[in-house]
Amino acid sequence: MVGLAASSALSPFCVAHWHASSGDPPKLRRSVSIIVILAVAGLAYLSTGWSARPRVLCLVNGRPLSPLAGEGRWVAWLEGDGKERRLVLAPRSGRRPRTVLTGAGLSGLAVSGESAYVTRAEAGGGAELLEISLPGGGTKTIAELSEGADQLTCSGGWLVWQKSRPAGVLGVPFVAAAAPVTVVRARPVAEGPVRVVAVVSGEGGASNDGFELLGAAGDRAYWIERSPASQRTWVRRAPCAGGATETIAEEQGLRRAALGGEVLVWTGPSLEAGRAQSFASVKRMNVGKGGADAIADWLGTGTAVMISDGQAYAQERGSLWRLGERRGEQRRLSVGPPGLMSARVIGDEEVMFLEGAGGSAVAKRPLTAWARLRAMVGG
Amino acid sequence: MQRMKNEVSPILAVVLILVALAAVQLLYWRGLVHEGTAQMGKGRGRGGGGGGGAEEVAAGLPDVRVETAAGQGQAGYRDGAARQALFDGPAGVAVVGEVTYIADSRNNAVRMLRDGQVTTLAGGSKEPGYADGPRGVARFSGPAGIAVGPGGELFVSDTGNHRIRRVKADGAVSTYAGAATPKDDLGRETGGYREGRAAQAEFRYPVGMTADDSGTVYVADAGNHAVRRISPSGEVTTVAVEGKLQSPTSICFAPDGSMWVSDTGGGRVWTGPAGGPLRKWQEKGEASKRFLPAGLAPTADGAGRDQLHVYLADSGGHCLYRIEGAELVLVAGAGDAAAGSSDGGGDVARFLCPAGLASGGAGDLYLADYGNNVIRRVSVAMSAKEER
Repeated sequence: MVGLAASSALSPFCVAHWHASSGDPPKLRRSVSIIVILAVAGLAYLSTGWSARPRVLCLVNGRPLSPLAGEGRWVAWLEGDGKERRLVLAPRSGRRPRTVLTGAGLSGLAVSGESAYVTRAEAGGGAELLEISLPGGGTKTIAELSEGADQLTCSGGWLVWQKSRPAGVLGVPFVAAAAPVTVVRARPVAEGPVRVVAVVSGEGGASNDGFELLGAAGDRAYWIERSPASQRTWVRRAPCAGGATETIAEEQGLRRAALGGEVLVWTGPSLEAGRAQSFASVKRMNVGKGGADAIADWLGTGTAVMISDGQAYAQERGSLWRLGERRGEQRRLSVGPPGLMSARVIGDEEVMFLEGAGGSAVAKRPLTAWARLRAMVGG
Repeated sequence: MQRMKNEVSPILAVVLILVALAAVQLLYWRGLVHEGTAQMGKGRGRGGGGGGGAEEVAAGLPDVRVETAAGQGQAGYRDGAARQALFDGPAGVAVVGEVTYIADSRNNAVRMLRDGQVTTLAGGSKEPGYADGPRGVARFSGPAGIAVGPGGELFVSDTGNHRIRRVKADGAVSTYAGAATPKDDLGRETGGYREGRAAQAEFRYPVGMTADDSGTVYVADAGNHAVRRISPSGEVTTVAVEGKLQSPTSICFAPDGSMWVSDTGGGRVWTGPAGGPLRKWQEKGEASKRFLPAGLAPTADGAGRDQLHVYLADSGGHCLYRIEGAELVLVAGAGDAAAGSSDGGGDVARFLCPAGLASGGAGDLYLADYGNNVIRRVSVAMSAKEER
């Protein structure tokens, strides 16, 4: 972006005019020209995705056990080996990370503002829902849960999580009544009882691959259900306080979605590629207003989406795209580095897990040319 | 001239650098698009989307014909003309004369197809439930199997309620076997395992069923990893097995009287006399890599009782096989786990998670194409096996 702006300012006409009007000796003019060329080339380079090299924040002790969670100044994750699990918190500024909680049954991590939330399984099958103050590290139990929790999210004033129960008949894809069941539960962040939001049955209730909780917005919880048998994905929502489930969209294929603030995005088949199944489109909906618009197309079928500060991003084979308001406006911000496991956008940075020969690491890289320049200057 | 060179060269250099950067970006883009197109071509070649890859897959029987008998292809619930009707997860089928009965699992209904019209015989609600009674009152929970008794009565495996239900021609539903079992915290019965009188016996996720000429009903009790038998007098027992079933889901009798069981969870087919014991069937043919045996139906092609012809739906390989002696012969579908939805000859037809299977008249088979939400009719002529 900056490079393009600079190049338009240095149009051939302007440079020619400057040459014609100045009386400086040719040597000086040549030097200034070289500096200008280098500056333009440098800015152009910084504005491309190739220039962004991830910088390792810290190494993961063991292996990552949760996606990266983060907001504002913080990035957090669960790591561990065997039964021992640790909740690690790292300031994005690059200062040393610290372990804020250790335990065997830690799972489901969410970060909101200056607090992190995590669940800790108990011996009897239940779990504790814990709140951790990020600046201080103080931990308190805010709810006792009847069963464990996965995919914990914290958004829209609600903590929402799910717990999947295995299929009654294992290995059979066509027995709907015996398919896995996912129970979605929610609790207000501030205070309040735990409520059952929805019981999702059928193939879409399958754990891990089939069901993905997106979060809450406007007092409603959002999730997607994927059916490997029928190769379909449904985007659904239900009131956090309990109530009827509503289907927002149904898409062919196994798709991805993300919720951030009031913005919901999800992938579907390409609208322009016809029957070509190798491409995907991205649709966006403001959940308060309704009505979905396609904002991108011709992305790969495995494209994942994310939202940060209301801005939609798509991740395709490691490359990160910033999506525009309309189709065709997507712009690639970075190219996936080797070993990329997962990434998310926080502020103007992409934070990621990288897998290398020596283990896993948490790394970050700036997404804008200005941020890259700052990163270069700041070391 | 020399002066002009000194003045113009920096401008040219800037322009050239920008052009070069734009060219690199453009080439990268084109590379991505071409890569995607190449992948798309590969997908078609494997026949994933339909009949495009017919030349590359194993040739099917030339006189096998697959057509959609009912259903539009999308999930839903609608009665009416066969091709406009909507199903949601049809899992079991049974045929009596000109009528095809369908266990429509996610609609919690027993549907029927007659004279090109689909109607609801019993049940039919978005939410599962359990209630006996006349049409409109009775409720089911994910019915997945259906069988016809010697007197024409229907038996339905009410999978989520862990019971066997009987449905009369007028749609009245009663519980044939299965007792109430403990409930979990979501209020759902968990099923159980108990022998004895039908009203006291317990099942756990019963799926496929068949009935013999004496009126004995055989149940693939998937959750109990067993084949159960309900005698005409109402006694529930378990058929002996030499080994261990994992999740049996379908049963049928071959023309020679032998019993065949598909053990979907175990990825094997079992066979033996009706009274047991069942043994693993050692196939010689090559099944698909993701072999998940599902619906079974005896021959419908007029073979004599001395010839063993049983058809088998493969829900993992998305295809239909015929068991010929000790061989597994591909009849329809790609056989390489390529799913799809298309009618036509056996070599171009595609299925998505085929489940229940039943023999109709005149060499027809009816297949519950679970993933495609349709009922398919497979016409198999007698001469087919010689062609293969």
